[in-house]
Amino acid sequence: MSYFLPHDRLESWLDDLERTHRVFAPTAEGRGVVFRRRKPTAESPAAPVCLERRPTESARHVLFPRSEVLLAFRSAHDESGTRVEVFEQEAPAPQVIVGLRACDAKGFAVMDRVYMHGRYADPLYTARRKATVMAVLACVPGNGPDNACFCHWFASGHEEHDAADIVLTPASGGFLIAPVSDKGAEFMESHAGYLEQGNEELENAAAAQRLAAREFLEKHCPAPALSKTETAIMRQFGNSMLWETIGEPCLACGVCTHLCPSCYCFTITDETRGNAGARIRSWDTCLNAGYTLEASGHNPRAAKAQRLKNRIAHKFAYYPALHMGKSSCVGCGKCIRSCPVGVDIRAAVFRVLAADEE
Amino acid sequence: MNVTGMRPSAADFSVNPFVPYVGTVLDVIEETPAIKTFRVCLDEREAWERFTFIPGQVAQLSIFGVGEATFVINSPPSCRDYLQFSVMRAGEVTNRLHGLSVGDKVGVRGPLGNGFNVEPMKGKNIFFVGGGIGMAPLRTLFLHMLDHRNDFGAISLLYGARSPQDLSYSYELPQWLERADLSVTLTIDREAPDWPHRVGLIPHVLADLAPSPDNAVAIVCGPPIMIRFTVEALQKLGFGPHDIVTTLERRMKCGIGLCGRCNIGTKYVCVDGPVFTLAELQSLPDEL
Ligand SMILES: Cc1cc2nc3c(=O)[nH]c(=O)nc-3n(C[C@H](O)[C@H](O)[C@H](O)COP(=O)(O)OP(=O)(O)OC[C@H]3O[C@@H](n4cnc5c(N)ncnc54)[C@H](O)[C@@H]3O)c2cc1C
Ligand code: FES
Repeated sequence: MSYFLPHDRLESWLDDLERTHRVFAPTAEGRGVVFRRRKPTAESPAAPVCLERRPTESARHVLFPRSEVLLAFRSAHDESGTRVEVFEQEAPAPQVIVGLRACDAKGFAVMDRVYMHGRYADPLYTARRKATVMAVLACVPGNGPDNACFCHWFASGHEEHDAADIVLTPASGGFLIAPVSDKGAEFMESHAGYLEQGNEELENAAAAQRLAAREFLEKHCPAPALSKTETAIMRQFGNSMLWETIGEPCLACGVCTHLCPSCYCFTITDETRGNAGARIRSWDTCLNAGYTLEASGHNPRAAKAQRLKNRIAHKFAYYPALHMGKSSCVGCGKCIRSCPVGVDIRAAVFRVLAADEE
Repeated sequence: MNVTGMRPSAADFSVNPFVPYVGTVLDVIEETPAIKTFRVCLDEREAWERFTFIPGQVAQLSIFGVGEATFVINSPPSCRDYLQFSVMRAGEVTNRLHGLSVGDKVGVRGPLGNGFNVEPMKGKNIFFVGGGIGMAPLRTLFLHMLDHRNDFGAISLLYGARSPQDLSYSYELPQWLERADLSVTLTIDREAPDWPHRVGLIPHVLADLAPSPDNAVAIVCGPPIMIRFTVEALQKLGFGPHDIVTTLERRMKCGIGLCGRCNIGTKYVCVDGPVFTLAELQSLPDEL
């Protein structure tokens, strides 16, 4: 079953989704395209959705906010002593993310393995993830794929739909919409009001567009032998010259980790006011020098080259070793486009592989 | 801080592993100028009855509004009156913990980590080597083994600190020294007046004692530099990498394998550790 959404009905369809879901969609802001809650009201319509350009950030914060309250507490004193009450977040409302790309959705698949299926589940992420429908926008020539994209290394794009529930493909003056999960099918059934039926001709046109995007990527940046990265990185672990060369320009600013759809490290800090307060978790970055600094003053990753090595090794060696060979890099290219000094994670991978072959 | 829009927590670690149990300080013991021991009980009866652990597991202690830090539970599992933590002053949370007195509230989150694998140690001679605050993780296992004394062969302890004042648990050392079924050696780094025991760094005293590696396991905890030289000394004595057990420290936050902070290669110290055999450590990338 597929649907067709003519372009001029896009905004109305999105507004209609608000009946049942909180809607997050990419919006142009300055040079950025960022995910925002739409929240249209009678007085002020939602900012127009931007699907023509690639989002400049991942949608990760919709499920895993940059900063959120893990728990709150309140203490009371009386003659019998002190009492501390602890509070947790309420269950999340249903929500839908519209217009994230396949690479961003794949980032959630990466996080799911850690946050939902690990030894301990993250209760906040898990609840939000279950309450969220992912409506992925397929990349086609003209709506985003560029020289920094390399999702085809991991088969993120094209016909693979990790974590996606619905796929929208630009085609014939609108979008072909195809559910790719049970959750997506159910969602579409109750939100088909503004839609027409899809047909085979549209489906074929959409598939051809997706294939064209994939062919573009394969031509401009052929994939290395990814199955070799795990051993190569571990064998080259002690090659400090290599890692220093790779990390030399790095400023350890962490912009790569903050834009990354699959970086998921966080820190926990307390805040307090009067007799109440909160324990807050916020995104953190393994590129920060204080990240592994121990109370004794010892720091196992004191040099930035060691920290960049950790980031690359986590994506291409540790994570795959723990998760059936799957890399945690999704090839979205955000770190490459946004690095102020041009560190290119692809070049780093090629360099390690080359050093290991010598 | 506003708690509207939030619900009272069920405080069940198995449901939400970020939420600590609220506990009360029952007792505070000044061990050394830098270390205080806290005995803590969980306020909720049910949570307390559910709280079981194995020797070597840790918990996150927290002061609400200040933060959390990781400490090994150094009472043995058989102790059902309190959980004991020994806290060395190191920074923000540890400083504030040192300010606690009897009746004060703390958060307790755990048990976390793998703990010691006791089964394969049964029937063997056990040689404990502890340095400074490293005696804390040894204490729980040591007392656990005394609870099950017949399961093990000879039990020895070599415990060292900088000076006599830096030895924790000084109140229980005399009874350990007296027991016929234990062999306990104490050492300090430099001569001190009226000190009847050994003087010298732990690895040197260890080489001197020369425990036999036959059918033996050595368990080593202490500051990184002490661990390094002690492990070398043990290897010289013929202890194999599977028979040397130690605990690692890494900066930790979540303690449950999610926040990513404590990894060494593919291992997360908070869930895969803190206890590792030397053989396991040798298979990790060189990033200690
Ligand atoms: C498995 C395990 C078991 C342990 N068991 C024990 C035990 O039984 N007893 C014990 O005493 N200790 C134990 N520790 C060590 C203990 O957890 C630390 O000493 C404690 O966490 C220090 O906390 P703190 O808040 O007092 O120090 P912090 O205030 O966190 O800081 C310590 C130092 O870290 C640095 N630092 C902190 N925050 C930042 C930042 N944001 N940026 C840059 N630098 C920063 C500073 O240099 C600071 O002085 C254990 C640790 C582990 C991992
Ligand atoms: S402390 Fe968070 S992963 Fe280990």
